[in-house]
Amino acid sequence: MNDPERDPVVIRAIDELRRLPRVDAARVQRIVAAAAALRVTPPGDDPLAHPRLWPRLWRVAGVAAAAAIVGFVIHGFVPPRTGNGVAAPIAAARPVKTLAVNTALHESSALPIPHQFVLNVRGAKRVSVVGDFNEWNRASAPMERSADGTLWSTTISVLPGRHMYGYIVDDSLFMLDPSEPKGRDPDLGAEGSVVIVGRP
Amino acid sequence: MSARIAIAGVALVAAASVGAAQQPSSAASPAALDSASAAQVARIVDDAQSKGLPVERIVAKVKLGLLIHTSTPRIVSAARAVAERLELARAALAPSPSAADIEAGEDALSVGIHADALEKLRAVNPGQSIAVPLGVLEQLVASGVSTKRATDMVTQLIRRGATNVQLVALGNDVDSDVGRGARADASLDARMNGLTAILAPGASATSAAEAGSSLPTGPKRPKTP
Repeated sequence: MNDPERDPVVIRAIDELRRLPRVDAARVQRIVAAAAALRVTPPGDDPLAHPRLWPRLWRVAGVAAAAAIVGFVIHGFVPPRTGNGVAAPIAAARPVKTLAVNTALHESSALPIPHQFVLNVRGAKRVSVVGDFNEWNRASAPMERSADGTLWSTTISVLPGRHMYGYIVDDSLFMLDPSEPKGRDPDLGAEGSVVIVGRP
Repeated sequence: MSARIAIAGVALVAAASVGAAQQPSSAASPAALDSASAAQVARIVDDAQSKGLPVERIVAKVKLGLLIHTSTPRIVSAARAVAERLELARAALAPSPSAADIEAGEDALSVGIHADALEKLRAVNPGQSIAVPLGVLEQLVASGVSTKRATDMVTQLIRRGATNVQLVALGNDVDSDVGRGARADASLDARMNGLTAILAPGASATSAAEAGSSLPTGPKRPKTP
């Protein structure tokens, strides 16, 4: 039997494979520099760095990301009907302690994005959405009624960020959004719904 | 002048159409500003305008007060408070803040963030708009992070060249975490680590901006606002 390691064909193949390709030194330098810039371990004098916590924190971040995705999917539900008349606002799941009115991004890098407001209210004749994004102007964002007359919706362009808003029903009733948390205006003490526009 | 017209319009429209609000914050629930109060508000607006301050926030505050049937004295007081904060914000963000900066500063002051924090952010990012960092600072504080810590973190991130998109994502992420039961500080720790992992330690704000706003903010999500 022939020893495969002495087979001239095999030997030539091994020699060929052992021969390293020519390396572009400049390219290697660029790769090293890029890797250094993206390194995971921050320098020791960095007050923000906790190298020993990194593996755990990345796992935590992964779990948080999964939770955020699930929460976002769940968050998109339409509030249930609450009765025959005009729906009363329902206490939000998480009250917001302080109100950050319009933390909108005023830069070209953060352009207004479409945001849909939906309210489930039966028996209303007119509904509009008012908020810091339209300076609480009831005429600027009238909502359209669905075919069955219960859902009102409108989509308007809003700067990304945290906004306080509410609904005006039949020109007279200021309603909160039962599906969003509440905030409190620091000057007037009044509650409003809070939405963060642009959060995926 | 346009602001004065807006105030007058607000009063008239409110008087014509607003009925009973669902959440009156006071027993005295006016449908509109009386003439004396309207004059007071107009003076506040005029004064702010003459100082070169953006007055839309003052007008919007009056509109909100009327929508929810807040008492007239409180509306006037709120308008005055907004004007004072606008002025304070402009001073803290000197020498030449944009209207957006001033309004963002006013927002921050309204939730209890001290003017020192505004000055600190301005100092670390001179000559550029800090409306976004201020908004994120405000959001972090609203999420439960202490003002000092939030200020330190946002300042650090700006120094390390974090983009506005990354800052916004951080604020949103912490807010989301807190909404799902996490402690604000713990969430901030985790999110900061995710963000600092991709920031070059010595990067300047300018170089980061040049790098574009498409950088991911960490391991949590590919999409940014």
